[in-house]
Amino acid sequence: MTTAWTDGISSLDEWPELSYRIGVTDGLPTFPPTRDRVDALVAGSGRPAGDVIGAIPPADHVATVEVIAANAAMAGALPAHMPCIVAAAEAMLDERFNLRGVQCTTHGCAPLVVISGPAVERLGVATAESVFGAHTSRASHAIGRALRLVLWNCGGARPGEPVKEVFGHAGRLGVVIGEAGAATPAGWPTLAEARGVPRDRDAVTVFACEAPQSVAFWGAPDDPEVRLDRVADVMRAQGNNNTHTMGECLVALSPSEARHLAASGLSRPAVQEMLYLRARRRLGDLRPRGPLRPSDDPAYFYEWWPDWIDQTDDDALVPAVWGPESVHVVVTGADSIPWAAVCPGWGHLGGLAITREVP
Amino acid sequence: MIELVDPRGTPEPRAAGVLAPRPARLTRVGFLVNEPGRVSGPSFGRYAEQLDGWFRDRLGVTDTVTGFKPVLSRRADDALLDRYDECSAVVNGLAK
Repeated sequence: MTTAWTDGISSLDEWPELSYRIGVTDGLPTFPPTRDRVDALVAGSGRPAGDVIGAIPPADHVATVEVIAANAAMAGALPAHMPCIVAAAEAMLDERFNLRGVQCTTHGCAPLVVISGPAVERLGVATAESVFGAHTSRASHAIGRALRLVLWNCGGARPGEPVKEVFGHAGRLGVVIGEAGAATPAGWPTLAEARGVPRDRDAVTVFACEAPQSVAFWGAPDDPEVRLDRVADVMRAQGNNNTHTMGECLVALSPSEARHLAASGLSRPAVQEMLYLRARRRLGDLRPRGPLRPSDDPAYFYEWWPDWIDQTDDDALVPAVWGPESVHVVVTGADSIPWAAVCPGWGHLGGLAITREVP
Repeated sequence: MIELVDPRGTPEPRAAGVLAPRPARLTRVGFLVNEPGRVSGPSFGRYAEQLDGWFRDRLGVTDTVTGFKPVLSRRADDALLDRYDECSAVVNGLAK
C-alpha cells in the first residue's frame, strides 16, 4: 500500500482518529492492528500468515490469514478466537452463501455465525440472556466484529455504494451466538451434528438472515402443535423473502421450550417437519391477481417454486422453506421461560447455511 | 515507530480482460424492461423512450426492439431473448 500510515505511527493514541480518516472502520471504535498483536493472532490460527482464504466480494481484496488477523486485532479478538474466525470466513466464501449478494442486496440479511461444540464453553461464546446482541461475551463480540471488519475492509461493503440494503439491522455489525449443547434435550442433535460435525468437535455455521423475530407463548397450551404453529406463523409472514422464494430459515428455541417439545415426544427432525408443514401461505394471498399475475400463463409463474405447487390455484399452500431440513433449529438463549425466535433468510437467493468443522 | 498491518488486503489480481468487439456503428438497439408492473415498469419504459430518441438522433440508430419480462426476478426466456439476436446492443433495467 502507498499510504503513509502503513509506515507506522508514533503513538497508539493516533489510531482512533486515523482509523476513521482512512476508513478502515465501519464507525465503531477499533484497536490498532499492531505487528506484535497481529503476529500473535496469526499464531493462534495455527496457519501460515500468507495462507490465502479468498477474495472477499464485492471489492475482491484478498484475505490472507494475516489480513484476517489484522481485522481480528482491530476487533479485540484473542488468538484462541482465530480458528473460528478463519473457519467462518471460509464458510462465507462457499458459493452457496453468495457473499457478493449478501453484501450488496437490498434485503436486510446479515451473516449470523453459530458456534457449536466444546469451543462454546471454552471461549465463552454467548448462549444465554441477550444471546443475539447485548450480552457480555467477548468471544462473540470479537469474532463477530472481526468478520464484519473483514467484510468491510477486504470486501468494501460500504452502505450506498455498493451496498443497497434498504433497512438492514444491527446484526450486520457482527453477531455470533453459541449453541447451548449442554441444554439441548437428550436425543436431539445439535445444529452442527445434524449437519455432519460430531458434537465433540468445534464447528461454525454461517447463515445470512434477518434479525430475530420474537415468538412468545402467551396463553399457548402445552400442545406442541399449537406452540409450533405460533412459530410457523412468524415464518410465513407475508413480507419476508422466505414466504415468496422459499430457501432456509433459522429457528432458535430457548432451552426450556426445547425441553418441553422433547418431553412431548418430539425429536428435532419432527420439529423441523412440523414447522415445514405449518409454515405455509395461500398462493392467492402471496400473489394476488393483478398486473404481476394477470393470468394463468406460465410466463407469470415463479420458476423457483416446485412443480407440485399448482400456480393456477389461488388456494394452493406454498411452504416458506424448501423442506424440513431447511429449518435450522438451534437451542440457545436464556434458560428461563419458554420462548422462540425466527430469523428469516434471504430466500432462494443465497446466504444459505454453511457449516465448517473448526480445526 | 509502531508498525501496523494493513487490514484491507490487496486487490485480487485479474487476468487482463478482452473487450467484445465494438460495432462500427449501432443500427438496431434493444430495450429489455425487467418488469412491466406497477413497481418498476412505467418509469423504465419512459426512460427507454428517451434513450430511443437520443440513440436515433445522436448515434444513427435506425431500429429498436422493446421487450418486457413478466416477472422481475426471473431470467428472460429464450423466445424473448431471440428477439434481440440482431441487436448491436441491449439496454436492460428497471426504474421506479
